[in-house]
Amino acid sequence: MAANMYRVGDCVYFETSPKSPYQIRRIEELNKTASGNVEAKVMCFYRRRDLPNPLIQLADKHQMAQSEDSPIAMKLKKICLKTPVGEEQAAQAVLDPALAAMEEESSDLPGTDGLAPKQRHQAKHRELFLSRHVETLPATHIRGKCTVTLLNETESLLSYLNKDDAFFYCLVFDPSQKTLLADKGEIRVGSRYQTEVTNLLKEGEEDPRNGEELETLVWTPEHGLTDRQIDQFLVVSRSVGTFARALDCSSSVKQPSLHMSAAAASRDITLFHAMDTLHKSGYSIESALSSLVPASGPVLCRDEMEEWSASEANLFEEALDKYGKDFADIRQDFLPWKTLKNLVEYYYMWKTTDRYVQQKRVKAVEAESKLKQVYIPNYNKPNQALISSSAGGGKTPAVLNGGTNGTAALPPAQICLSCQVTTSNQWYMWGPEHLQYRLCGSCWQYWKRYGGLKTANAFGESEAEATKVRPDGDETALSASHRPHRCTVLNCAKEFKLRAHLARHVATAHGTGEGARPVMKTRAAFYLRASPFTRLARRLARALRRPRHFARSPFSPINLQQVKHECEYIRRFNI
Amino acid sequence: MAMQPHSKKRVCYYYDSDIGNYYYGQGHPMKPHRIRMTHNLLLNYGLYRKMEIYRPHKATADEMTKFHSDDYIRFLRSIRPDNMSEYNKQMQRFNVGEDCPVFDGLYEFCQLSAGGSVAAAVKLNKQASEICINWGGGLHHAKKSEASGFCYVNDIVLGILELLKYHQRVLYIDIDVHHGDGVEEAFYTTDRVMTVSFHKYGEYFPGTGDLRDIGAGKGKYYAVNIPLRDGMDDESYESIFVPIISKVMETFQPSAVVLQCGADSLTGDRLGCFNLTVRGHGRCVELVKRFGLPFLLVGGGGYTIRNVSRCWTYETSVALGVEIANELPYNDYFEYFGPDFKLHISPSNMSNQNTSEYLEKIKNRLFENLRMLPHAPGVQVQAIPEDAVNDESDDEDKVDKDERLPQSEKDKRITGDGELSDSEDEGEGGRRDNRSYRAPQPQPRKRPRLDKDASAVKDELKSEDIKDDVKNMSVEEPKKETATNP
Repeated sequence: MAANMYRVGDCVYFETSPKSPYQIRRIEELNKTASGNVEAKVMCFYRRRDLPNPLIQLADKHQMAQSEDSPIAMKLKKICLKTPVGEEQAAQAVLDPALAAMEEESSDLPGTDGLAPKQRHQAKHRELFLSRHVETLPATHIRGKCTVTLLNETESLLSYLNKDDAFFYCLVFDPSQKTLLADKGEIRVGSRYQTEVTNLLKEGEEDPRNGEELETLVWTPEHGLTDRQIDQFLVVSRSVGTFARALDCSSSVKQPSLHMSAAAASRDITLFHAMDTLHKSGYSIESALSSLVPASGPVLCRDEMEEWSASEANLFEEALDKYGKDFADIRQDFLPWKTLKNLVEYYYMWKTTDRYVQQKRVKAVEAESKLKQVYIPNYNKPNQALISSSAGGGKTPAVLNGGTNGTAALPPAQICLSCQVTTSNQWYMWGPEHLQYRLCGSCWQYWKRYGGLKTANAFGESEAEATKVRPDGDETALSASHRPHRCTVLNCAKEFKLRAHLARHVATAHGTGEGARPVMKTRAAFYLRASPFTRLARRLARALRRPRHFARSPFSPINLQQVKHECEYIRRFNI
Repeated sequence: MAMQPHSKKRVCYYYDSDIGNYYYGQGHPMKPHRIRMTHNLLLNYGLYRKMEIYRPHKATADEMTKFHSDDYIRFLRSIRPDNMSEYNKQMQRFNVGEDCPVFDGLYEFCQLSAGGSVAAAVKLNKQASEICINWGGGLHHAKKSEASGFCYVNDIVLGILELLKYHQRVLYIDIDVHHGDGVEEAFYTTDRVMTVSFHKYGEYFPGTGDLRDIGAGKGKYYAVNIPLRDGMDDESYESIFVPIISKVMETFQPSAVVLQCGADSLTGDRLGCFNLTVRGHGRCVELVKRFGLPFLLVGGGGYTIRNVSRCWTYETSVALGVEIANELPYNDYFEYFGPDFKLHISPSNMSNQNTSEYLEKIKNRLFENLRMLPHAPGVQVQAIPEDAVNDESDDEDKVDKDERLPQSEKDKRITGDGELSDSEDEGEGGRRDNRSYRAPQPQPRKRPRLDKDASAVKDELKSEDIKDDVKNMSVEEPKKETATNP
């Protein structure tokens, strides 16, 4: 049960679209709407995949800067993160040539040393970026809890990988400005910030401070009275107070009964006064007693609570209703004969009365729409991407199953794009539809939670996601970070590690594009690169390749998965 | 139960009856009223009569500019709600306005808070008291020329500056849920004050307090930050507090301690996110008290005021070494403590994001840093008791070399193995003889530190030492006396 109770402050998965990974949010408020639904006001965490590329690179640099303390790294820490980098030029400005050299090895998070490549790949799925962006989502879209903590450099990333649903963050992302900031304050150094430290007094030097000027003693425990005697004196002083109220006209009106007078005389102000009296009379009960009943009559101590008349109390409540706790305004408009201190003291005592309790009840009803927690049952409806077992069987790959060569006698089974298993209870469609990718049940869950595939795949994420429209629109994942950026201008083909550099090159060398922003911005620039695996596949899976067939029908897709699987198969059995 | 005379401490308590009536403004979480609530509880618990109670003076501008800049204090003195509009520019410059509003009596409030801490420090210097308490102080965010986080004047810095007149090294410990940035910054470059702050870190005010912030210049390694995550409970808090503080005491060897007891680290705080109970919070006071150094306790944050007053009442009782009933006594604000009207509170069921693994790693990193400290700066070698020669070196103790201590005094100073200094080793006579805290360890172990390969030995000792300390701290319960509950 507790697992399905979601409280304010919890980090949770939200499902906003069945096909994309969950979004990670922190619940700030839970509000009941008029229709009885619960809305969650949430703060957004972003995944790496949600960030524009230049920012990711900056983030990685930041990490590196954190792990090494080289001067360049320090410089980076200072500059990069404070420069807005939503624009390519800005990114370019930040990544000055001195730093360019460090780009290659920069993509590792700290603490990745000793991680296998696969773990390193998965660690990236655990990194989030905090934002101050707040949105409102229906609470029914919650799909489970997770934890997000600030990464501490003493921790290894492995501790996150070993725990389900554990994420970390280092940086704060501002989605509107497209900037990254380190979530870190600064202790400033300089004479404007530090204090001058006092020197030790020298031998024989006297401290000029005079105790008497600094403080007034109002009670000392060295009094020689027993606890019993003090208690007795307190009772006596309360009795004197009760009697004083009986004599006092205004009091006898307010407190018609003896009980009420006694209660009023038992308030703390009388007790404090009694203690003061004891102290002033040198802890002699006798002389203290006589000062309780001076010639002018028995001592009467009244606090604000008692001092105020019923009509003043009514005025106060009326004012409180009107102005809230703005005591300056209340004083000015309602109770100008009181001081501000009177009002504050009265207010805090008034809070102990029944009248306040009643008010509080009214408030409590109002506050009912604000929930502290909400119960969301497990979500069991099948996802759209789930391939129902009857339909999924072997239909879809059939198109490509035309290869009649002997080696293609493989079962038309489905292969999980991520973990390569061929059997799973559930299969999910993944990626753009025409590519016909499949994920097994566990990889699908992984994808939903961590926003990536378990293994870094040669064909993997970057290509499949390429067709997905990035949130910021002008990004194409084909220019994924590991690919060099090549100039598209004829006879040039220079390569750059960063798109920003390419942009600069295009602008300066070819003068194309408007200003510094060339072709890049308007259309996705991509090129086809034959990886060693692709080249190998061309030879091995010749039967599936059928170059003529595909040359004639350029729009029918090649099932890369199948090709890949066949290659694997051939390789494994050395056929 | 017979009380052992030395477990009773002389406690001085500073309070001005005006303090509860300062009001930060509508909706502002900082409520000086909580100090008055504490005070009334103390009276009705019968703790009031066991302490020296002082009304502090109002600190003068002169006193405050010992740390703060002149123009900042001048500004605080002149700004009022009715002339705010004339000070727009300065308000921005000094960060006064939003979190730190201008309210009626602002300057007086600062004067009282600072006056209490300064008077308390002077009291400790004069050895007229062993423990001083100023719940009106503890405003640890205030900077030299800037208000911050509901704090305008940094009474702690002013108090420590006063202590430094008589103490070569002063230790500052901060258990507020927020980082004690004001104090840390003020003493960031000195090796005479070590600041140790336990706080929530990460997307949290004031944003400072990273594990890697360790001080600068001469003060490098003299700032210790323990960044924590949501949900710290009593057990994990103690598991990190005890070893760190023991190690700090051992390596830094302060002669006076200031503890900021911000109560926003309690469970259910309006601004906090820890899960400590009053007992767990008070445990820190108890642990620090056992080192037997001149001890200044100040308040700080704390925004669920009924729990703040519970906490500070309990901590006053801990300072006094007096046990108090869980049943709250009747007082003017009794209704605030419903529905249970008990002193102690229960933790919530929030999850603790601080795994033992995480705390362990933090601890080890901090130990590494502490190992970088030169052993007890400014002091050469500790006295070796077996030789019975007091050859403590010059610049800490300005003791007249000719004046020998009576043997009985010296005997008292030898700390037994399992005993944590509750000894009253300061003689009467007002001698300025503030000895450092010495870790309660078998003496032969002290020696190898002087050897050439001291560091190796130290490493080897390290883990054992700490275990010893932890054991020592938890074994010995202080003698307590039950107070009558009038």
